[in-house]
Amino acid sequence: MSIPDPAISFVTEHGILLEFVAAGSSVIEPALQQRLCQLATLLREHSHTGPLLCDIVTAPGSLLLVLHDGRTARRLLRHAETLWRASAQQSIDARIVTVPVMYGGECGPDLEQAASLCGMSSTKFVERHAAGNYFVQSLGFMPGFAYLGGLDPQLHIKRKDTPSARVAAGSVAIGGSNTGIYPSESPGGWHIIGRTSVTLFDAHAQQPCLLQPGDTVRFIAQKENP
Amino acid sequence: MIEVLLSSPLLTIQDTGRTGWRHLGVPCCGMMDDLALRLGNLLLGNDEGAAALEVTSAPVLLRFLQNSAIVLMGADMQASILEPDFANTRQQRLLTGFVYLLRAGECLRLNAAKTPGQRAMLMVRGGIDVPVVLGSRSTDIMNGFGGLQGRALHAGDKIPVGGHTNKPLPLKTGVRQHSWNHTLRVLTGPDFTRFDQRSCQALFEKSWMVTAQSNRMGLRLQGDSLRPHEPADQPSSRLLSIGVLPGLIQVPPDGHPILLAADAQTTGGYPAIASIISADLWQLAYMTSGTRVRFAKISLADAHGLARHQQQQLQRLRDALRLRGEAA
Repeated sequence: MSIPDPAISFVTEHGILLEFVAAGSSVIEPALQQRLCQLATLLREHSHTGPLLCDIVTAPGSLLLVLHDGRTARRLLRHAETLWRASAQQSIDARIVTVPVMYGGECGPDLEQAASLCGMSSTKFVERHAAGNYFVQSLGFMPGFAYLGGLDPQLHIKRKDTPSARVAAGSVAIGGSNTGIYPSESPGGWHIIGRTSVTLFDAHAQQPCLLQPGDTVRFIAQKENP
Repeated sequence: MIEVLLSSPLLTIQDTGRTGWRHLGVPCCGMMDDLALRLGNLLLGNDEGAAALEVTSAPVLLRFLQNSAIVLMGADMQASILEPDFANTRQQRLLTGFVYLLRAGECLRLNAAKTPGQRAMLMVRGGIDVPVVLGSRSTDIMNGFGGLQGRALHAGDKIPVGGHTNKPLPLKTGVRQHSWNHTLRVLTGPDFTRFDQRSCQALFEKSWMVTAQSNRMGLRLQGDSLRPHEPADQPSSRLLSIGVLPGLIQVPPDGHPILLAADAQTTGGYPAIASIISADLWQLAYMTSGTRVRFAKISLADAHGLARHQQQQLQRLRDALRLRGEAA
């Protein structure tokens, strides 16, 4: 698979956006996204580029590089290009994170409706959701909220017209072509199909987030009342 | 310790904010006027990024439980120092940008800003000493961490203050609070060309009014409606979200721009028409419901030059204060 050179633009005077997907496209190849996440890690860890950067935000098909000083952009981009080319030769070992989920019932109040919107039984729906290999495209919306790509196209469901006022922490949900997990209680417009008891975000932990951009996620359906 | 006797909405602990965590969805937060924070801290001999209080509304009454030195910056809140029994006002009309000393038990009263909603910053010698969470003491109100228990301060809270050396403080010289003019210099953004010509002109020619639906996450503006090209050959929203930053000007489908501020989320899908340059970002601290804002277009090179100029000004102040400290 060939990956195009990115379009480069200044979003702010210190923020450079690298876009790897043509405008008008919303499909992200997992291999591309993996390489983007890897580039972000390389840039963060490299001794020539790490000190120039405040932040690197991974989003579907793009990277936002935030510099301490926008005038170092040219230098950073030169290194980024080298690292990007070098990353093509490397095979990527994604970290695999398994997440146990209680599907349906109180934990997944929208499961029945989501299944019927997709024209299948809830058992079949859960089977398909739990069979997927998902990858963390990006985190956003709130700390630790991971947008997971790789959702079975038959399980894509448009977001709710009216968001729920209160979604419980740990809720596993579907919004459009993404699935995701709410790290803490919040309002939300996605369809809630289950819940996990794992902690996704803890500001006071050494590693505040369970999921990092580029990780692979597998859901394991749990039996009721384990 | 500082005891909060009377609090007001959105009285929070802030420093220069969190960097290095946006890829996990963690916003920056931090003082809305971080330049004022730095200036005040320098005057007090603190670390430049030491945590302080951001005051959004008044009245506020604080009791200092030990001898303290403070600097107020930002909007003039008509502050005064009260004696411990409240019987007398020891000092009225404190000036911004000067050091004031309080004796143990004395109280600081912040009365009101001339324009409600404009913020003030209260720096204390030694800095506010709450735990560092993800590299910062800033309160993240949306996500409930940092500061004091991740929330705004209430009456009855006791705020810990850090230790400090006993070097003499410059009591007769102050720092200048930058004056705001509500004109923000901007760079055109990656989605500027999505908008029709009329909208692109309107952005710079019209004035924009800040609405009441504005907060530390974003300031919503009303004025002309900014529209993408007709017929819409491109969708009015991006199909994919991108990483976003404070200073970015987003335009949702209703056509009314939003200025992203310190607490802004980390990703977003609305087209980014322009961005406020970093040298002007502090002005958002003084834009409140009803403020009229104008945008002036500048080049990327000029933006970089102005950012550098601001750094140089800070450096000059650092040098000047150090020389004064050595002379004392």
